[in-house]
Formats: sequence, structure tokens, C-alpha cells
Amino acid sequence: MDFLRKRALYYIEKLENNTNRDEKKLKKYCLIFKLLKDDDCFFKISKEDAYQLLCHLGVENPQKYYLELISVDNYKKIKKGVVDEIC
Amino acid sequence: MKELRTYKASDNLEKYGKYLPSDIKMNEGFYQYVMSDVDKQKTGIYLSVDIYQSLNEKVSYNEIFVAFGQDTSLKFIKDIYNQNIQDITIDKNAIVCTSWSLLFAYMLQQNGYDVVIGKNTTHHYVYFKADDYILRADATEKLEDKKDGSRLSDITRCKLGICPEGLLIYEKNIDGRIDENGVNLFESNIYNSNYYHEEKPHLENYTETIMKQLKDDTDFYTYPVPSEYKNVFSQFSVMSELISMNDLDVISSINYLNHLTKILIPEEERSKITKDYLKIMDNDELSFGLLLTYSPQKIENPRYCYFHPSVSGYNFLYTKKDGFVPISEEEAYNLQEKNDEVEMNITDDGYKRGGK
Repeated sequence: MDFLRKRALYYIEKLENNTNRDEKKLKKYCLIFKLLKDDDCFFKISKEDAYQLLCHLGVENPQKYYLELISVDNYKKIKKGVVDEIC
Repeated sequence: MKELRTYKASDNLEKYGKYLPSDIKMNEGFYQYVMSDVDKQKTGIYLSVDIYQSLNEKVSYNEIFVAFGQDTSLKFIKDIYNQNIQDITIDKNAIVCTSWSLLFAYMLQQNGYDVVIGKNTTHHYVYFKADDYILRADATEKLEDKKDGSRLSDITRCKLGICPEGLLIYEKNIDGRIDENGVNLFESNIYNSNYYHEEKPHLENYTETIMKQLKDDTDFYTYPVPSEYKNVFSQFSVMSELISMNDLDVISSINYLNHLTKILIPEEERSKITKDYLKIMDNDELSFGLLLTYSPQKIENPRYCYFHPSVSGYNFLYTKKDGFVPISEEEAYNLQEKNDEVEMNITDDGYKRGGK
């Protein structure tokens, strides 16, 4: 997730520093960054939406990357996070 | 709307807590970092909310402190508890209730607020005056969200952009003391923010709200989606592959499968899927399984009996032993029948279930 957040930030910074700012595009990446603040987000959005998101962030092999994001290991981390918060 | 107590400027905050020691100082770089996201044009309650929001977004709860059960009899845990806030920086931003209270109180004080730190046994929080009200701020306690039941601290809630629960404003109280039942600032008529009042993004619809904005306001759907994404059977294969790599217990595995079904199967196909939780007897050992049936064609009589969904279509069974595998209609039906036999044996009301 950190990698994806950094990618989103990279695009935000790039767009913000551009003299001809594309506000719509900037809004898109800001929303993506906001979405990625939730570690759980890939377990809440559809595969198709996730695919679009990963493509927007320039992930090289989005299909393979997606499977890692929704893997059991990530699912356990999220569950652990919730448990930590509840305890 | 509850009536809120207003305080005179002469009210002394000292009865609620202690003022900050005069020699206390926060790391300047970190202070500027937090203030960089604060709208300095704001005043009173609005400015304090901005500082609260920004600070909570930029600190994390100390994991070591949690891992060792907040046991202050251990020296290194006590050191964390008594940490000097000068040592909290952009890179080292772990806090506990004591350091958070000092940070927030210091920031408020720097911005001209009258502020004290309150204490209940070992837990610390902040009281401050703003716009003639007394408010209590506590971002490290996990408070229950009345809307969705989640228990998160405001450190997490602010990072997720969801409505904080730890900023309380107090009711009128005859004896002049703060009533224990404060009102959430964002539910009072004192604070008027479009963000929290109109969107109210609580945990369950946070993702949904952002996705809707992405879809409505941006060119989110730009890339052609691979054709297999629409193919339900490809998604079942993905589920089978993912679940085969797991070491979770049965209930967690089924929960994981339910999550996968929701995100992998396109919405229009999901309505054609039924689930049946079954007790499975295997070599005298009782275990639990999930029977998932996908019926692409509309079924006239969707259930063969009251207790189970129809098995007409494509069936998949999840068990701890075999993972997520396709099975025939006949096998699926037999499993349902077997489940009823098991249930009849373990219930004592003599009620017979099942029947084709």
C-alpha cells in the first residue's frame, strides 16, 4: 500500500508543479490517494475498479499486483489491524 | 438538540486538569509540519478542529506500547509513557495518550487557547476553552461510532477522513462542574461544517463515497478491462487459487471467501450465486463447509426445500481439507442431505428436516 500511496503522491506533486495545472486530473489523484489511506480498500472495491486504479498509478502488471493485494497475507494484516484497534 | 453550557472567561480550567509545564516545547519542525495543513484564517472552535485533524493525521499510536499491554512497570514502556515531546518528529511520530495530550495542548497554547491536561488514573486528555465553551479532546481512546458501531481512535478516524468521536462539548451543569456526558462536537449545533454535516463519511461508506466521486467527477474508467474479468468461472479459479494458499481457520477462510466473492464477481452475476453453510461429516469428524452455487439461468423453484438453496447450476464447495473445489449437483445435493442428518442427530426436538 505504501508503494501505491507514494505513486499517487508522485502524480499529485507532478501535477501540482505543472504550470498548466490539470485540475480534473489532480482531483482524480487526490481522491485515489484518499482512498488508499484505508488499508482495507482493495477488499471493498470491485476487481474492475481496482484494475483502473492500478493502471492510473502506472503499476506494471496490474493483474498480478492485484492478486497480491487481495492475498490471504494481506487479508490477515487487515484483520489484525482491526483486532488491534478493537483490543 | 441538547442545551450546552457556556462558560465565562473567568472560569478557571484548573479544576479540570493541569496547565502545561513552562519548560515544555515541541519539535519546531514537527509543529510547522502539523500547522502546514491548518487554515490559520480560522479562529475558536474551527481552528482547534483543524489542529486536531491535522495532528491526528500526522501521528501514529506507539505499537510497542500496545504490544506490551501498556505495562508501565517495564522501564522502556514507562519511558514511552513519559516521552519528551521534543523527540516527536516527522519521522518519529509514535505517540501515546500522554504525549498526544502534551502535543495537542502545546499547539493550542501556541495559538492562544486556554488549555489544561486532564487525567483519569493513567489516561490523559485535553480540556480547552474556545468560543466561550469548554471542550474535551481525546484522540487516543477508542470510542464507539454510534452509527456504524466501529471502535476506532480519532488518530485512525482522522486519517481515514471519517467523523471524529473524541471532541466533546459539554452540557449545562448546575453545580458548575463538567458533566460526564459530553456531546460530540459534530453532532451539536455549535459546529457547522459542510464536510461533516453533509457527507458524514462514516467507516462503512467511506470507500463508497470516494469511488462515487471518482466515477462522477473524473475520467476514472479509461483503461480497457481484460475480458476474463467478466468471466465468472475465471474468478472462481482465482478464488480457488487464493484460498489454497491460506492457513486460516475455517470461519476466517469462509469470511475471506465471502470478501472475495463480493469483489471478484461482477455485481450482475453475484445475484445468481447462493451460499449454503453446511455441517460436513468426514470419517466421524464434524467440520464446517461453504457450498456456493452459481445458477446462470433463472430458476423457477429456487429452493428444493425451505432450509437450503437449490443446487441447480455450478457448485463449488469449500472445506478446510480440500479447499475451494467444483463439485457436481448430485454431490452438492447429497451434502445438503447429509447436513440435515447431522443436524437431526444433534438436535433433540425430533424435528425432521430436508426432503427433495
